[in-house]
Amino acid sequence: MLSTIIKEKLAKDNGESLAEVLVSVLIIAVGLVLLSSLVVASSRMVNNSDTKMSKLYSTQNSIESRDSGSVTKATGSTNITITGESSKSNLTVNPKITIYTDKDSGTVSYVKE
Amino acid sequence: MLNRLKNKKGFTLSETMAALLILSLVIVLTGGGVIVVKNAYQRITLKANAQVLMSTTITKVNDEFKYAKDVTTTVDPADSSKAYITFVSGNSNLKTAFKNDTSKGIELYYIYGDNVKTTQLLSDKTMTDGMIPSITYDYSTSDKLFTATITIKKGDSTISTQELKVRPIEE
Repeated sequence: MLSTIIKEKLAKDNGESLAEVLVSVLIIAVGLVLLSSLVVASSRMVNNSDTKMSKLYSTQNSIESRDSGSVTKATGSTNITITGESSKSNLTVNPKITIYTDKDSGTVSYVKE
Repeated sequence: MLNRLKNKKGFTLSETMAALLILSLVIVLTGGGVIVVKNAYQRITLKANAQVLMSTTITKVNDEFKYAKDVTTTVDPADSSKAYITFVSGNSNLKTAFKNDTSKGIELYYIYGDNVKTTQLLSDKTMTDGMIPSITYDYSTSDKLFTATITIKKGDSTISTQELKVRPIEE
């Protein structure tokens, strides 16, 4: 089937019509645009992961550094009452907590004394 | 087709010139495009590999610092003009320091008595594309905090730098 079409095409002296040429150019152009968009997409993905990794490490650093660096510290305590079925089974604890806030990464972590 | 092959007439000079011009334009455009795409591919691959290497290095360094004990400054028994910030490694239980080598990257420098031993932190296969990591680090006794800067270089050009802070568990 395909070989007959090729033979007929070669036997003819006529060239391709303008519409055929335009369609083939369009197909090639679409292929090239798709291929180049792959490169652009992968470049964007690498840049995104770079930003996320930097943010992850700065968050990790802020958690580790606690008192030093750009971290602000707040210390306090509060009563937490856990209520049971009867008044005798109530439990009140008074934990002392230090909260560390890092403005750069927006991380909040706490340490129970 | 036979008619075309039997035809003794050739192409005119202007036809040949026009065909050559179009062909050269196509070749230049395609070649330029291939070079641009190849460069972009190499740049992206290098950046992605650098990220993997940085992540691996940080994991290994973080592991050593996290389980470090008895952080002190020790004079190098092999060269008394040098001193390192050493710690007892949780992995080997030996007095350890980090050292940089231009071809082997970051090395673990074990000091036991008057003897020293050097081990590569990362294997050669980890350091792809000729990228070499290096480390500078310090320890703050008041904050009980290691602050390290890890740099990944290829030749003389720096590909990526990352600061790392680690608080040892047992300090």
